[in-house]
Amino acid sequence: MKNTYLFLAVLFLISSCQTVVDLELDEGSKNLVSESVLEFVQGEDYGSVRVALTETATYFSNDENPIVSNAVVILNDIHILVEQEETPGVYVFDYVPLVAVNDTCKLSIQAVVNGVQGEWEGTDYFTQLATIDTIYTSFEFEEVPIGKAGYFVNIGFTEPGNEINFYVQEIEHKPFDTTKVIHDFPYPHIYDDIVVNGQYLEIPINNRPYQKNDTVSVKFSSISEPTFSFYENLIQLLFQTVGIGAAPPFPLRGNLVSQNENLENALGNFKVKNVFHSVVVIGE
Amino acid sequence: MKKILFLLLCISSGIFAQNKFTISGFVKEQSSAEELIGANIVSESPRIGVTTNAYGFYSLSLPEGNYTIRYSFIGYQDKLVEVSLNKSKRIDVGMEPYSQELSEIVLESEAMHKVRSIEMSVNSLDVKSVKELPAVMGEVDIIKSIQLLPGVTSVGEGANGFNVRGGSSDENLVLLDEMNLFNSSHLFGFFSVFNADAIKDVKLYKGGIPAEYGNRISSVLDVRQKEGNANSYHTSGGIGLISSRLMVEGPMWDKSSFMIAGRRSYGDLFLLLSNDSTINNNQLYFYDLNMKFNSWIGSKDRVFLSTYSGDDAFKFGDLFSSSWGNSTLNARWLHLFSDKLVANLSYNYNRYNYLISIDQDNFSFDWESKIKNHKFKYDLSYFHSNKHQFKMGASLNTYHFVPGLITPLSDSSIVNVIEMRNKFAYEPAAFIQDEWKVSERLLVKAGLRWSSFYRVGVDTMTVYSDGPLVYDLDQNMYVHGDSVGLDIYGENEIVKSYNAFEPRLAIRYQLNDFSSVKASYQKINQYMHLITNASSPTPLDIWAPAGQFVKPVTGQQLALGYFYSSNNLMWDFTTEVYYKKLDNVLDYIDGANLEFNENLETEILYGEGRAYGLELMLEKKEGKVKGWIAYTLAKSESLIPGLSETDPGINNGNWYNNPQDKTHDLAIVAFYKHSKKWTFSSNFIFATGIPTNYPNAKYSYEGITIPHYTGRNEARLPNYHRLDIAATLRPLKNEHRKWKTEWVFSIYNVYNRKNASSLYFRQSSDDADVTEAVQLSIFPIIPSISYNFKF
Repeated sequence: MKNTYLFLAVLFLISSCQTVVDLELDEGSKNLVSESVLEFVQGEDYGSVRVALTETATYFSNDENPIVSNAVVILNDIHILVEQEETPGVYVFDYVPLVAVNDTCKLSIQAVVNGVQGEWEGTDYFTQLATIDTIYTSFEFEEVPIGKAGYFVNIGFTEPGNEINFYVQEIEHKPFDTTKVIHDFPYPHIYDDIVVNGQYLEIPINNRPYQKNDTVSVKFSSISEPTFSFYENLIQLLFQTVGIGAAPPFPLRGNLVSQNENLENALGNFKVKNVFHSVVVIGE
Repeated sequence: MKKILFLLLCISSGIFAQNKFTISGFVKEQSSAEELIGANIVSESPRIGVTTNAYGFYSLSLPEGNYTIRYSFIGYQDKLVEVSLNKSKRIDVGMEPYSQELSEIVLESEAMHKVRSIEMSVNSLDVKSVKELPAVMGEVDIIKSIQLLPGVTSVGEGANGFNVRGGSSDENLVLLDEMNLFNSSHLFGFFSVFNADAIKDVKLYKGGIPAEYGNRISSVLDVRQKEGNANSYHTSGGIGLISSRLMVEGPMWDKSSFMIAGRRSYGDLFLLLSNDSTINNNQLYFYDLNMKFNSWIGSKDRVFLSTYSGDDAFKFGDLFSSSWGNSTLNARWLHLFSDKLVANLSYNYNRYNYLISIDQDNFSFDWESKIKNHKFKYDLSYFHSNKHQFKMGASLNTYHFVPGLITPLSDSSIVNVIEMRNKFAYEPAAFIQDEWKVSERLLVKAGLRWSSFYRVGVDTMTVYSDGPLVYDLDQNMYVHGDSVGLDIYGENEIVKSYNAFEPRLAIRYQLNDFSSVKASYQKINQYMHLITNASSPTPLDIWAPAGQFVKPVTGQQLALGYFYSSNNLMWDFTTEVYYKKLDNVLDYIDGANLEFNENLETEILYGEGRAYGLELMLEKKEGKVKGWIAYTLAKSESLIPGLSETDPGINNGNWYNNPQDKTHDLAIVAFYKHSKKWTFSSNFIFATGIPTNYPNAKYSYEGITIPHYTGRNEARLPNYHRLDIAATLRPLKNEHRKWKTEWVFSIYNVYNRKNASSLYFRQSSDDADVTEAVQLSIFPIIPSISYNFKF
């Protein structure tokens, strides 16, 4: 306890105070928001595309963002996505034939937003994920102030050395003593290979240890550079515009461009991923 | 025409003037023999005066005759010297500090300095007063003190550097004994690198910058270290909450002296009390070491050697460590060719570097970045006559930038060696200026600087088909230009060069004995930029030199001022208006990636900037209560259009506020000498909140609530205000003892105002569906005590 106090006493010297404050904000016009992903899971011949459409809301609104139903959503001018009855505003198509590396995929959306009919288009290209050689758990105890004992899940693969690659990982963690799924990372966890290009990598996918019998769903994906940039900007907006002397926040731009001059581009983006997916039960 | 030319030559060479002799020499503090910069030397009748230059030297030409010469300087008793002038004479004068009782009668010349001198937009700081001001945790801070002057602001507490007349902090040339400092802050901006014990003189040029300075468009902060007491040994120091200091000075041998000063913070030393390695293995400290030596060689030559070394270190267990700091050296030779001609030859070296180490299993590496700067400078001061004082010189700066070098810490580390392209540049410059006393009322200082910048190899430049940054109409966003090849440059091969003439002009017209009007104009090119899109730079930002894609920024400033001293010399009032125009201002596209980016040009757009304002300063200089009120009304903004008519640029091509824009800035500073034992001081600050962005909507994406922003810097943080007080106790028993002590008690932020240093928007930690605005503030009320001593 004394040690903790000493450490905190020093940290106090540079610590700051946070207060929730009331502000009056201007209200912007409503925009279309698209959360669109085309996933090709490694080893499968068909991919699936899922698009969730909503509208922006006023910042301090406690209501969920309004969904956008009855839209026409088409992939590559061929595949028409179907709105899900149980989840209005979500459009799905599950049989997208595998495309070649660097092939461009196009998403078109026709929807009514804020009472105005509009059309948006976005493109992204397919990148291939290297073969994941191994996924395993290890038990570790770190003797540092932030460390705790527990299990870590690692994936191992040889990083292709011929070009810059970009990755995103998504983890769903279900502790053994609850049915609630926890998203370990409150923001997208992304990597590029600039400092490790061509190396054999063993990446721990969790930064907090798991316990025995926890269930962990791991998605490790290859993404395009523009998608990586979108995520980078998202992280920069959420975390690097916060703090003393930080950069001012900025509008996050996606790749869904309005085809109507009088309408704004859609927010969010459309991305294509090549996914390694595995579910691990710790200790098994 | 030939006759006119001959006439002009005759006038300038003084052929028609009567036989004149020169009184020259150095003005020093009596007890320490430290040269005094800006001291006034005036003959009583006829009333002709000059001031000492940056080296304490003066030269006054008078016809043969008998004169009473008055020497005066701020805080010192005037000294009268009778001179029978029948040949040129060297007179070195020692001056003694004045006592309070004498102050009302001795300061005539000093009081009039602001009115009579050619300088405008210049502030000098009295280090003794700075030490009496309230300070955060009792840590005396020169940069925080200059922020109490009109036209000088910071973007907030804990922000690196300072902003002058709406300029960003990388537009300030910070010199310590002529050595460039690339980062002048400790502890991420909470404290400055200047240890007040080691500092003799601080001068800030906000405008009317003399021609000898260049490569920063906003200001010059010229800080001079003490030379050391040449008469006797002295030690002074202090113990504060954050750091302790010790300074030793004294004579070395005949006509030589030295000064060594050190300061170290010690918060981390308490961690060593712990037996737990997870605690005692952490570090957080800074230190400064200032050293200076000087020696007269004969009566005409003097050599100086000064150094500064300072570092910040931060270590978090074995996982992470970081350090950064400046190491500088200045070697200078002053030579008196005659009583009218003084030369200075100097060599300066500065290395600024930072190092980040990550040691995590097989992912361990060092990340290093540094700048090495060598500067050679030669200048001549020619005191031609009391009407003309010339100064001319030349300098050469060489730069070696190492933007980033990543090296694995062990063989088992999977991290590759990566080195960003080193960058090399030369910056030759030359200047000439004349201070011309046209008449008793009219004084003109005209200068011309030629500056140039050569970006040289070894280097590799990317060749783009349509430029480094293009606007993709399909995606409606800026994207990197297509690379079509590389241009490779050999060692010292010129990649890109720039040069420019930079005129400087200052005019003073004296309305009467107590008031004058002044005007100044300057044009300056800045050839390097600190690469950061934060409102306050961090020590880990890198500098980028101008080159093929990164353009130099050009700043022009016009200032007008009115200067007044009251009849009883108790009050000074100055007011200035200024207008700055900037070309090739750079700013970054939304979401620019500036970290370890080899091709920064793909993130930058160019445009123009402007800043204008009104500054008022009312100063009470005598009496039991002294102090000043400084007020600034200002605007600072940029216009960055798109690359073509079809792209929006920044903020849709409209003018937007710069991060350092503050409409109102008010500082009230007061000193009250209650008795010989107690002195009190106080300052109150009010400033408009700095620009920021507020969202006008939100949306959900992958489970994250994202605030949606439009435009840039359209909103503002809440206004900033704060009151600080301090009391200095000097025990009466000090008076007759060699060992003198003082206690400084201070309270920072007396009424515990929670000033916003930033404001951000987030999902509530209690309920993810609820969004909230969170204000971040830094310093609450902070009482502190420090103990100072000298003997």
